[in-house]
Amino acid sequence: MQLPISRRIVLRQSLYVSLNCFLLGHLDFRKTTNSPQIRDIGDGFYSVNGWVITKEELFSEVRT
Amino acid sequence: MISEFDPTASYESLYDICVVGTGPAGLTLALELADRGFNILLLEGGGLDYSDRSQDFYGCESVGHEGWPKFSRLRYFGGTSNHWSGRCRPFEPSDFERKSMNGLPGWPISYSSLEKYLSASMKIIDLDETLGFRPINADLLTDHFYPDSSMQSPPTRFSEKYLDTIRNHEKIQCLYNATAVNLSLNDSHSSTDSILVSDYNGRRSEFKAGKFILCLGGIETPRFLLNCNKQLEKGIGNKHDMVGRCFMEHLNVPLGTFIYNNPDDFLRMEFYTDTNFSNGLDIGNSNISLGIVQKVKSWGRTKAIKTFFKNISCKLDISEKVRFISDFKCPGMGKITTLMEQSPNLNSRIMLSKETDNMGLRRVKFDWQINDYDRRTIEAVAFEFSKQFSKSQLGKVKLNDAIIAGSEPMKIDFGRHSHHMGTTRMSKSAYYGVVDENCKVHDLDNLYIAGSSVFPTGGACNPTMPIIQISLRLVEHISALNRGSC
Repeated sequence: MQLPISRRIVLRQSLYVSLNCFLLGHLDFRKTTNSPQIRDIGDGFYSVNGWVITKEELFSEVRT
Repeated sequence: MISEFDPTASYESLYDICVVGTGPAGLTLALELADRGFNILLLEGGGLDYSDRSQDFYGCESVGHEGWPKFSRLRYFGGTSNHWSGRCRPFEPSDFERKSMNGLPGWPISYSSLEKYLSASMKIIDLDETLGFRPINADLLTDHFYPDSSMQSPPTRFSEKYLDTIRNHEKIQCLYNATAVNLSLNDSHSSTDSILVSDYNGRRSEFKAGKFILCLGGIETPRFLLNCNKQLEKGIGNKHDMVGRCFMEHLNVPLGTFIYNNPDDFLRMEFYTDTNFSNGLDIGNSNISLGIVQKVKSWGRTKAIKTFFKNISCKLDISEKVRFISDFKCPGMGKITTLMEQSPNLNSRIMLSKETDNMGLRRVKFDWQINDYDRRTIEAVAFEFSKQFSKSQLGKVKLNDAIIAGSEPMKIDFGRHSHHMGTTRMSKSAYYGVVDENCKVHDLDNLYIAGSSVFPTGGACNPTMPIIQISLRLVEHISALNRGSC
């Protein structure tokens, strides 16, 4: 997925800083969140380091 | 009657039917045909129990994906039923509606022509018909996937259940340690005259029968036909080079892990692909199973402390850091496994190796391949199931790296289910298969094959029960032929 560069930086930093609170609270992203792998898998869903979440979850749950 | 094969003994000069192999197909055929009055010669290459000497004949050269062909089947009385898990699930009607899959024709017979033998096959493998096939997670419905239904056989060990019946049946002559090494055809190569049998010392005898039925499994049946090359250079039934091709397994693809929203209520869940989804995308069917893989491992005087650490570390998301104190998974975490349909693929095949066994038969060169069709099945099922799991508020799925990496081709590691299918596939035309709609080898009057090797497509169901259904169908066909000739 191609995001604007500023948005990518925000997203990356956000994931790094606040993933303890991400989604269900115990998805262990921290080891890899310096460069989260995000893939658009269609129908409004994204894969973030393997976790399949909705677009709304991807953006609304990340603290900025 | 049952006895060890003795090449010096005198046996009957002509049997009505020779059945080769004593797995679920062979024993079902032998018993049912004998009960209808046919005089049966039943051959088993191994003994009455497991031995390394017998199992060694399954040793082979593996050049494709590893499928453990030596140990995923058993070479003694009862065959692979001696270690099957017992899971039973019938084919779907939609499995018979596909006209083709990956460019090769599908089933040439209807679903109903097998379904009529479901009840009888359930009795053979000790399933209680009154219970029926019921889903274990009936209330969890999602789009494109529905709760899968299966039943569990004890599992029936055919050797234990039917040995005495075979021993006491006056219409059956069962010989063990009797390896079939060749078939002799008549001069015009239109029918089979006799079968050559060998003991472990290489001493041989020839047996004549009116009909021959090979029930040797998805690997050994093509091996035997290819080794019967004294009269036909390419082997018997192999005029169009189809013997051994289209080897299919059920792919055991680990999709990933999941977190379930209500771990306290969790039971094992199984889903199955909806027909519109799989046929619409032209992909294989799939069973998807979810299970919690690890519960808290804590006991003794430290149990309370370990449980305390577990609870607090899961809440604080520091479970990895404290795992050295108490080995556990957080509540609700589990893994997703699958039983996926592999498409028929001409390049996935059983061939003959240059190496021979002690009987002088060339061993198997085993080349299990998947292709882009199968990778498309894996990706489509993985992505769609993950979405539906989330949409249904059941929880979240974490897919394995290989699935989301998007590499071409997908570098997915997958396992086997030890379901060997497709290598003598059923087809209307001899160009696309080895046997016709009645399991008779094309162009041969009296040679039949029973077992999963005749499946042109494999669905996503365990094959033992369908193997029995197809065997019972063959029993009826042969009985009808006999009535017609009387």
